[in-house]
Amino acid sequence: MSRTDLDDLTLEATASSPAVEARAAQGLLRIRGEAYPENAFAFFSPVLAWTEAFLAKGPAPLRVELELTYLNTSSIKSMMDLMDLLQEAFDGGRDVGLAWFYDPENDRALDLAEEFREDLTLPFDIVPRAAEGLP
Amino acid sequence: MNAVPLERDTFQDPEALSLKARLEALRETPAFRSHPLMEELEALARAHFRLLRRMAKITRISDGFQIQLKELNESLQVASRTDPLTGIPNRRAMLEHLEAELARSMRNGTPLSILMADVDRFKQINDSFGHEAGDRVLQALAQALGDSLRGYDFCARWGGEEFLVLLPDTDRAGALEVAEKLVQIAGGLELSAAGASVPVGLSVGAAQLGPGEALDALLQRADEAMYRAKARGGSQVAG
Repeated sequence: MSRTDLDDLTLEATASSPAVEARAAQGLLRIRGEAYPENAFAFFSPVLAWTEAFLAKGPAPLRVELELTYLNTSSIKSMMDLMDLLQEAFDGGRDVGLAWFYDPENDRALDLAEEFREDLTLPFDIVPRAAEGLP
Repeated sequence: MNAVPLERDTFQDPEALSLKARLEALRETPAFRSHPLMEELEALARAHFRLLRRMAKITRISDGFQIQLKELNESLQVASRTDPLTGIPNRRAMLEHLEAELARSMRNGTPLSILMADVDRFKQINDSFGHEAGDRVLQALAQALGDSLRGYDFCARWGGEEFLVLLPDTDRAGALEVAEKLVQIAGGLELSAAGASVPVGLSVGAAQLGPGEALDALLQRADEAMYRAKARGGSQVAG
């Protein structure tokens, strides 16, 4: 089975959930926006499932771009689950990388990004949004 | 088999440390070293430590987001009470102060006065010198009025070219005195646009709160006084 057999995943942003774009052909997962869905587990399940499926399919690299301005507690847990998946793949020799975009105007945003990065050893770039905004 | 690893060296939870020490001691005991459950126990301990660590991390990050929300909320509170052009309190902030000061005045029987100050011929300033010049007039006035008032007076941008000044513990005579000063200060402002001097004048209506008077009535009297000052040519006080 080739990589392209994995369906792309597209979720539009809502008032309480971020936009999600998962592109198998490009090896790209992008999550942008605010995340305080009523049921974060249900919201992020397909995202985690997609990531697992992508990593299981073949050796292609995966780049994950996160630009999250607010996360409720259960969404934080889901993001950590996602990062655990990536870390595990990285530990297994996979080419995976993560970029966390933050608003440099917000004094606390950088600290929060660094908190997420703590304990992880995979490539985890923390990028000020002004310097390299997402398209 | 390796020692039961804590998720991180700096992990300082005393219960976790004590549990780790007990497990390590048990493993060194001959009776337990090769016990079939030992491996499972160590796996369980690792999972437990990992969860503890994870919970601490989630809690820290979650607290961070909550502080961020709280700070955002505070800055919105300030923004919702501030006039963006002049940086002084806006009508909403003034209304809150008015209500509080009116209640205080009635409770304590102390006098209270207000000044309604309106920029003279503001439309002409905008038309002749441009809106940017008009904005600068408002900014300069806001600054000058604020500087000249006492610490417990309260000045806000009330409307387009209107400022409202709240003077606690001040009777009509005192209010007229302050009003005169404001008219002088406004007249003394030196602003220029496109090489020409911009004439700044202020008409001020003063009103002292009457016994049992409602806020609307007080505001209306100050407004009427201000229009009388304007009708007499502006750059003066009525009340």
